[in-house]
Amino acid sequence: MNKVSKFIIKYRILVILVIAAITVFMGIKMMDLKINSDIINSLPEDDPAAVLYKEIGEKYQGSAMGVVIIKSDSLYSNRTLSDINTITELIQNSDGIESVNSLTNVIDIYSDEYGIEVGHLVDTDLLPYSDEQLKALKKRVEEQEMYQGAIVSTDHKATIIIFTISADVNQEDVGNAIRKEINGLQLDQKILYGGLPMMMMELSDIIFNDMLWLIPTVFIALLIILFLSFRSLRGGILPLISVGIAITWTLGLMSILGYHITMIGGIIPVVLFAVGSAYAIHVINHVTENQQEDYHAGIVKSLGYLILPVFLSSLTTVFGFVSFIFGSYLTMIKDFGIFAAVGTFFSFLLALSFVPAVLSFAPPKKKKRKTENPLLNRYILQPISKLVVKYPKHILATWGIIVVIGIVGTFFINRSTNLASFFPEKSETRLAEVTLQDHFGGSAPVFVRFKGDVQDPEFLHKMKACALFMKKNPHISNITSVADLVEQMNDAMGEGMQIPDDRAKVEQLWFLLEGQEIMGQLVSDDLDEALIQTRFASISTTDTQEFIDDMEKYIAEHQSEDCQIELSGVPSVYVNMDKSLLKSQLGSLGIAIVLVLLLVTISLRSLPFGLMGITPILATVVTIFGFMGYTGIALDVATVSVASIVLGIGIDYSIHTMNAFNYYYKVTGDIAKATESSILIIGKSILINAISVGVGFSVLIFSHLIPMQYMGLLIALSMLFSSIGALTLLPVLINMRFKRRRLKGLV
Amino acid sequence: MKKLTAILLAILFSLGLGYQGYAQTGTEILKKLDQVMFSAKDLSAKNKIIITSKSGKQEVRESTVIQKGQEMRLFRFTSPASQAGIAMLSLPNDVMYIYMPAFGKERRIASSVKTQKFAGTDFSYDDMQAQPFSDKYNAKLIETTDKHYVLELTPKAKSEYSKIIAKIHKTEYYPISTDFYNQKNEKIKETAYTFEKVGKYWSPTEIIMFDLKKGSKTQIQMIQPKYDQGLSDDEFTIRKLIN
Repeated sequence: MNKVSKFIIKYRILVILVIAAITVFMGIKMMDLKINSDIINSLPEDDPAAVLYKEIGEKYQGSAMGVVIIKSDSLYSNRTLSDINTITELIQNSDGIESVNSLTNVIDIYSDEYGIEVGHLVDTDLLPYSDEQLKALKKRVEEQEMYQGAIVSTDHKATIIIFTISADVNQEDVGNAIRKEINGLQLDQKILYGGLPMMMMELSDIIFNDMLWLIPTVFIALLIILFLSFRSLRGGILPLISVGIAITWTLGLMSILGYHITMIGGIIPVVLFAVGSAYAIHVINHVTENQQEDYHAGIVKSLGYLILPVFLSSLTTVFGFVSFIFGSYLTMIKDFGIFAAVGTFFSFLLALSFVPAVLSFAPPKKKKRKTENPLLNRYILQPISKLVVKYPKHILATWGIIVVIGIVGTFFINRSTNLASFFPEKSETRLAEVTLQDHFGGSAPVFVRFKGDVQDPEFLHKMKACALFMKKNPHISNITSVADLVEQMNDAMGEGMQIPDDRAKVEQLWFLLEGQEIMGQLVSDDLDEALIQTRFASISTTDTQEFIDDMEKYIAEHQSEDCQIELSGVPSVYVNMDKSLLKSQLGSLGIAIVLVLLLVTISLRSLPFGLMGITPILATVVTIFGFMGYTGIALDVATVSVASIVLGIGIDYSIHTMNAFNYYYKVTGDIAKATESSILIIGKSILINAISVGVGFSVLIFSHLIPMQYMGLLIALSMLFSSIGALTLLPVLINMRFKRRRLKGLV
Repeated sequence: MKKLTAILLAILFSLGLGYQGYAQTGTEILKKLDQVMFSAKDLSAKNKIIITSKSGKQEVRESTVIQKGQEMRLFRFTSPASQAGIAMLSLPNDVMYIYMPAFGKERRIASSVKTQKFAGTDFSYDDMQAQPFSDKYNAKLIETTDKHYVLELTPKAKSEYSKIIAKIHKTEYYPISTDFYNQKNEKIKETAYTFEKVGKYWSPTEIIMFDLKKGSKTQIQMIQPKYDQGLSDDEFTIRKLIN
């Protein structure tokens, strides 16, 4: 190791140039990184609901449904209808569109004893103009279930245009093009966009904007903290430059390997700033504090001393991230784990190469030791050390109570997987979603696929029965299936709203249906499968779970050899994601605990020490879970990662405390003195590190996505708890153990 | 200076004349095409409709058809068995009657939705309408070769098409192909015609419609066409439909 350190100092210019060259290269590659917010893509390829969802998208004119909401106080006016028509035609003529359904192009089938009249609800060649015509249109909308509450809101103040996007094009690009063109029309009406493709598009915008603002914010916040802590420009800026390089390398590598920035991947830079700067800080501190006459030899010595602890510290953090690779269900969380781990490793490498190479040019001014931060000592660390020595039982009891309260709270944790709930309540996307839920039966498409002989009356009866069952759910309103169309046609033939019992009749009614555009969305070309299509209007996980459970029960009871039934759609996907969240949480946390425990045990050569070291972090994790339960912060794609990240970072504080205690116990041979000294001396750096990591993560509170905001808040809180835990709970545990004299001689 | 103005005027004048000359020719060619296509008084024939989906799956239907003038037509399907006997009677003003043997009765169907596909084929009701081209389109001659004329047809009224490029036989004036463009000026459909002389008329023995967006095609073949048999209006009644 010494050789490497000497090499770095000797060829410092070369080292800096090589790092600069890699950085420029990676920086160029980084520019090609694309944002991908497709949540469906993030589902594992063996998830049956996701597979079926994709398959339906390819087979039935696109499962990706976008919605344009037009709000107007005068919906039935020539002008508004003209605008609706303009938008409808604009979408129809856009690339990648499979179908468009709006007030101005919807088919109106009218039948009476004389026959059937197929026309459009609105004649676009001659839009209704007179009051009489407009009133007639309103009346027709009110009469028909397929219009009111489906295309026009019940209060007649909003209408929607629903479109589906082909499975073989980029949904986001299509959505973006449409939004841009519609906004370009500068219409008077209030226009909102909904549906998964539009949400994903909005999400990409937010990810981009968040990256644009949060990265400088975290940089400045950390710079201020580091400058205040070290009172030197170099101490502040060098660690941040070093991490900046690590971030560039990480993003560049992502680009080279063909990965995209996802919703959670977007915060990798913020995470690395918060986590990775500590390593460079250690190096700068040590070099500054341990200057020798031969400055360069001093640096080499410092590096030799630092390599192991800094390596261990980065390794625990890497373990925290790596745990996502094995424990997660969503690929975007796995990818986040991989690259956050890689970035942490880069930060470690650069702290031991780039930072000393730069430092070697000029020795930093040696500061007066331990006179600064008297406030921290007097008001925080001294009281803590006194408490620990005098009232260990109180501390233990306090933590015990906190943990118990935390455990109870854990049972109240909600889970959230619905994309709509990730947007702030006042955002346009959320408003659009609320409008769709309240007035249009929601925006989350549901598909029930029936396999069998589609023209068999028995088969159609089964579809009808299933649709009737689904209608009982309060969040299901408009249902479309070929069984309904057959009934309508049967009615048009004068035989009532029912499915004919004679197969020949069904086949002949089919002849009338074949020309209808909607058939492609409901029946396969080979007539061996058909879909029930509807939408689900709640973003609540409980409601969604209930619906899926009911459906699965129904399917199990009603499917047969001749009629196989499967459920898919966005709610199914959300429920699978939800189930996976808990598995992800337990899986990644379990892996992180085992890895970290193993590492601490090996590095301290003692299992009891390993267990003690991990205790404050576990207490923190439980407290945070409890906090989530009581405050209603949901477990979601971002907050699911908090526990493992906290474990990886927070364990360092325990390691520091235990190392310090061992050292001072050896020096003084007195438990109380060793406790006091270790808290006072190591406490400062633990707190400074916890504050900077906490502040770094709390920048996420300014994100425009709710999961990120909570993730920032939770990690910041965790840093507080785990650092306090390492300075209170841990020393008490160590004391108890030493007092029992069981571990004497191990030190 | 005066001379220059005169020359310029002469050039402009001749350009204008030339343009007018083209326009007239385009319209004339289209009128001649209509004469070739719609000059027979009546027609009776068998049809074979072959629908090929994107995946290559084929569906064959057979029917008989009789037609009088441009607006009276009676289709009767003879196969496949599930559709045999279904008959459709088209009368003026978009009125259509359908007869379904399984129900044993007819129903009147009026459709003003012209863009809808006709009975699962790639032809829309609009495409199936036997209305002279020159009624629906303005024509402009855009190319003349030794074998054919190329016309650009633009719809007179609102249409799903922005233009149609029609290739027309130079001496016999029957269509060889038509390409349909949507409002974004993308080619969405293609039709290819095969004509044969039957008696004194050029008769379309096969029309193939390609739906470029869907990737499917529909072939309509006309077998044993007979022209000018003197069909009476009585052949196009509901009584005959049910029969």
